[in-house]
Amino acid sequence: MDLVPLFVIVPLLAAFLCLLAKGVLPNLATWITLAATAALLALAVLAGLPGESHALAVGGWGVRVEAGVRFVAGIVLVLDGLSRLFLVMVALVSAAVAVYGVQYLASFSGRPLFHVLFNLLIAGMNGAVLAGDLFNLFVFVEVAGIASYALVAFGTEAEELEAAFKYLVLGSVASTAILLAVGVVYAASGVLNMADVHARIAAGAVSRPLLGFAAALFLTGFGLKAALMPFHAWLPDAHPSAPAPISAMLSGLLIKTLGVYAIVRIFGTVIPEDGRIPVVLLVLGSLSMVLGVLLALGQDDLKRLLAYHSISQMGFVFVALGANTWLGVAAGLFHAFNHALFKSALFLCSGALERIAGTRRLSGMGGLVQRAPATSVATIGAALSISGVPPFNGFWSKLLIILALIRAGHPGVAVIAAAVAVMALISFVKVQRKALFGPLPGHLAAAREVPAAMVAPILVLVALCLVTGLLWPWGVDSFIGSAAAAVKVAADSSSSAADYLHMVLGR
Amino acid sequence: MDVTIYGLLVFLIAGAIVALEVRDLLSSVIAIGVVGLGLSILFLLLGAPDIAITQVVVEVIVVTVLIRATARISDEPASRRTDRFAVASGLIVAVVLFFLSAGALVHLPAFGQPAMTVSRWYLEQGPALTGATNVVMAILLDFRAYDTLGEATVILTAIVGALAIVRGAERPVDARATDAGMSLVVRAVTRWLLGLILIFGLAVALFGHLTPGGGFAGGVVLACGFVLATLAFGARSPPASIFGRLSSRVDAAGALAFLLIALLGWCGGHFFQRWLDLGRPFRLESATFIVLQNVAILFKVTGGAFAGFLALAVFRSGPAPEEGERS
Amino acid sequence: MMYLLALLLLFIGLYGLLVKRSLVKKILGLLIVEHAVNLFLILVGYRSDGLPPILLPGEDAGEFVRASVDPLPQALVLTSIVIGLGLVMLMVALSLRIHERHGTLDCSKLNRLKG
Repeated sequence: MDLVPLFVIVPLLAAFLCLLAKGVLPNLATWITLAATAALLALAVLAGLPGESHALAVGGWGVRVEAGVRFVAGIVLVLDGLSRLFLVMVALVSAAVAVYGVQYLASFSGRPLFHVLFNLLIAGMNGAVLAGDLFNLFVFVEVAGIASYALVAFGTEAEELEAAFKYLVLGSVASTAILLAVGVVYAASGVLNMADVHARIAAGAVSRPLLGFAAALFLTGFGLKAALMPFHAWLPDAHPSAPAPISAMLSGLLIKTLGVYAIVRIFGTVIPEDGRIPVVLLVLGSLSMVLGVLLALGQDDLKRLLAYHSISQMGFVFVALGANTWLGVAAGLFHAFNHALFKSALFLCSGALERIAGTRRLSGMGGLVQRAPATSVATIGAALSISGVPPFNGFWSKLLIILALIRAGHPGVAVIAAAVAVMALISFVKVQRKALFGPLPGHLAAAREVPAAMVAPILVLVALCLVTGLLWPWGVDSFIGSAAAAVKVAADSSSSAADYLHMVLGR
Repeated sequence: MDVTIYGLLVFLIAGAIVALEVRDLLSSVIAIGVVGLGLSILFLLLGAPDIAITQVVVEVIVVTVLIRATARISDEPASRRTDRFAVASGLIVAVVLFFLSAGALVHLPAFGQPAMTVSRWYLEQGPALTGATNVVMAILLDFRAYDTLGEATVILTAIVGALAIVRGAERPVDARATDAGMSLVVRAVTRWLLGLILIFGLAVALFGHLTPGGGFAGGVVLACGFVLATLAFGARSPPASIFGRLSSRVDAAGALAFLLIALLGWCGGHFFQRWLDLGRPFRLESATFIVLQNVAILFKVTGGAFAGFLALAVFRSGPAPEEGERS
Repeated sequence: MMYLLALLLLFIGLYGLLVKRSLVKKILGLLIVEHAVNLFLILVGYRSDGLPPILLPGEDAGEFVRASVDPLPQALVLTSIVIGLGLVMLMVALSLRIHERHGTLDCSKLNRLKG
């Protein structure tokens, strides 16, 4: 039996059960979430890592041939290298976050509701990553999106509500753009399946201006979801406002599954190659890199600082995709994977530090390494990863990105990327000096380390960063490489969409 | 025909402008209700009765919630400092974007000649393959039933999100007026109406595969019935308080049932595969698989929409403390 | 031309959603945006003098295929209406709470939403 639908079914089932158990057994929800994320992790290892890429027709409505025309009758789920990478990413981070959440959320009211939304967020991301159909992608993007709007406001403080409102307004603009793009593509081609759409466009069914319009709408919609400059305005408010575990999910996963994944899929698989898109990605990516890190440098609020770094780091991913070669895509996806690990670790650390110091302001912290050694070690490890210090994973992916840019003939962008990497390093050295080292302020003399159940998952994520950094050459072909191979042929960087079409349409 | 459609479109645009520009919030909510009704008439003219029905019932519940939620709020007069530069630049951007989009949209297939590819196959084979002669329902609950699972999940997500956001909120003073209900005449009329609404909602859901409607529209109709009962008899009356306490769990149970139907299909081969035989065409039993799914969605949406109404329009009404969780 | 009117409706909705200061007006703007996109999808599927995609007893199957409007956009719009309902409910919940905290729905008075 093909286990692929379980990636969506398990979190959905968990969400529905949490809601049913609400009010009857309020603590059951925590256990359901832990069980669901553990199951997803097992699934990611079992069904996700090895195996052939394949498409699975929901309800058995697969390929039909009518009057010599092949098309997909229903919706297909597609598991290829690209979706595999993101499924593993989601499973790893959400498992760590779920464990962390047990302690972190103990003081929150409405925990069962939190767990329902948390599971729905995972279901939405997994569903989006597996979707082989444009409208289905939209539906699951909405599931994840709506869950995230509610989770940002979960604390129901004024600031959080306002951040969630702004996030929702811009998120719904993004959804509108995406749905309109799907509508335009459908109007011109009469199909929704991604492989079908590609085939129709290649056959000239969609006129050039219309295709450009649809591409612009997709880029706006998913760019908003990815917080690509100039569509970033919501992120610095929304990500810090959420409870720490959710900040980790949003910055670590959501902007990548709804942003990076969708953009790679749409422009790598659905819409045939067009020289303009990589240029746009290079420009917007560079802009995000530079402005994100500049805005981060002046921040005193730790979570806001991390949020601005998310924009900057996503810029790295997008310039790498803009290089438009197999190496570039591989480096970008590798960096997205690494960013998922260390940024979620950093946001979890920020939650722990906030508990320890009673504030998110760096100026209110200091010398915490004396009072909270474990959290400090985790923070240092994650900070070294994001600032690209060898042998941590962030170093290698940034190096690969710079290399890919030079090889693709964009030395200017490579220089910008290197400069931004240095600035990120400076920014995080500042964070460590202010928060962890130096004299311990008087009001923190009684500060206490957070429970082991909160530190352990962060340490695991940091250890994964280190392991990835040490062992990545062995994982490149099987994992990152095959993810990039879903859109680019490794040998000559030509589009590998033909393989996708073959896989789905079976010709 | 085309003239009517153009007329309605212009009416919608005028209504939308009125809704946004009128200062009085109640008037603008009513204007948006009128726009929604106009839109559903337009859907009817465009050969989409399923959408028309759904649009009407959704509009009813949205407008009810908006009136209940905003009626007590008097918007403060907006501060009138307008930045001329911002207005001008915004306007220029909007006009440029509009003309760029318009320039692309003229390349669409001419109006009235859709590029039907998969759809032609749906129309040819749908009734025979799924048993549903309403092809929209055949697509929604058989060919693309997986989308509908996502759709059911979206509404559950939104309602749980709304519950999470309003949890622990103070009940506004005037919401307590809801507890008392309305006058005797209203109650008597409501009692009669409720029976009709119940039957109508059930019929819309059960016969969704043959006639316009379906589980979603039926569910919203039933939820409207509960809303009516809440407003007429008061938030502490039995129908409102008992069902109110259960509503979000009815939503979850409906969603769970829908997922189980899909999983049972998986046991037979594919996720979401039809596992019930087709019956005689044009009869209720022609597509029992779709009827079953419609019933699951009916429960789900009834529970969900009513839970949403209670959370937004009555806040933590009646003896349902756990809907908002202890804070 | 028909499409352009739907596009105009969309832009009016976007104006309400992005420019209006009152949170209630923003909600109405979102509703208009959703209406416009749904309308666009249904317009796309319309066929001149088309009939609803519901086969009636005794109707000729070939004639049905020739005369019926495109059913697929209708299925998409049903889903999209539901998603829109969800977004609106969430937005109402947020604005109720914001009103409770600040006593205002004018977002120029809310710090975070200024930008």
